[in-house]
Amino acid sequence: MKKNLWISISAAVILIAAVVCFVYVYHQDAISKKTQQAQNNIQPKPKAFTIPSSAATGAKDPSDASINEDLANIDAQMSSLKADIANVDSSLSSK
Amino acid sequence: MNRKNTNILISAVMLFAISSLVNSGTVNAATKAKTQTPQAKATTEINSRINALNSLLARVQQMSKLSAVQQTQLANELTNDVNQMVVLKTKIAADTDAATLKSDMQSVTKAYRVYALDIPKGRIEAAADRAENVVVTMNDLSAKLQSRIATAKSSGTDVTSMQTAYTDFQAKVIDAQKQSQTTVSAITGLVPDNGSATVLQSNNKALKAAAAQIKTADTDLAQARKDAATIVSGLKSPTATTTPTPTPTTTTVPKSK
Repeated sequence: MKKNLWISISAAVILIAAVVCFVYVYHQDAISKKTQQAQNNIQPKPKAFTIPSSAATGAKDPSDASINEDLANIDAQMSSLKADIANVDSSLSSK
Repeated sequence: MNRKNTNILISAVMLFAISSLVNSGTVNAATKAKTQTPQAKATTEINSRINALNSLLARVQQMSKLSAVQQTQLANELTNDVNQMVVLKTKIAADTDAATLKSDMQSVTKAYRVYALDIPKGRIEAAADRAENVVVTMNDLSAKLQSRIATAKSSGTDVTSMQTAYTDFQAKVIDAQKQSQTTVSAITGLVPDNGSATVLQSNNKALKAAAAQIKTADTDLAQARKDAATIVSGLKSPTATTTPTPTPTTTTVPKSK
């Protein structure tokens, strides 16, 4: 009986704590949104400027970032190729 | 006996009962496997083939470098295999005559060369398609590396080692492409042996040769990747070109007599 009482009290405490956390987070989010909105009203929004990617322009962008991106792609594809070759070996041995 | 002991006793009895139930389940499953009917065995074999074919079919849909004709041909072959397996499964399930059942069961492995030809062929073509994808990305990278080497050279960097690595990079990428293309063309036309030992032998030979070619392409690409790393490393830590310093010439003034 006493044990059940403690379980009920603990559950109630956890529930209250969860509700308090939710209200706090929701409140903070609302404040943050309002602040952002106020700033947007004061400052004129800068015009978005995007650098055209090499894929869009058709040009080969030889920057470090572009080269690193290619290397990462190659590593991922080669890893898949290894898996494909393992599948080939397995299919040839299990005939 | 106090209450604590009673609780322990009840727990032990429950634990024993649960373990007995689990054990009896395992034993039942093992016994069931041993006493599996021929139809059930054949169904298991066919289902495993259907699953492998469907998995490969999904992979074929993702291929991007095979020609549309090759891709459609491969997909049609695999779909046809799946359909045949489904028909055979239904037939075996309905077989009542022992001789017909035996013959149908043998046809799973003998008449339909799913594991002997179609799956290995599809897997090799999938690997070749992947290798060609790597080649495309490496060709993109090649243009960028060439541009960066040229820039480094014009700014006085010693690019000798980078240039050597670049030449090897290009050669390896070209060879990888050649290997993967040859692989596909060598196995596209393979047909089921239908019991012919000669065709079976030539199919096996062609599949093994194709697998070896894909491995060569993989080795080429791995070497090209190493070359790219050498070039990138050279670009990150450039060494200035050493210009030879002129050796001073000594002139001997003849002694005046």
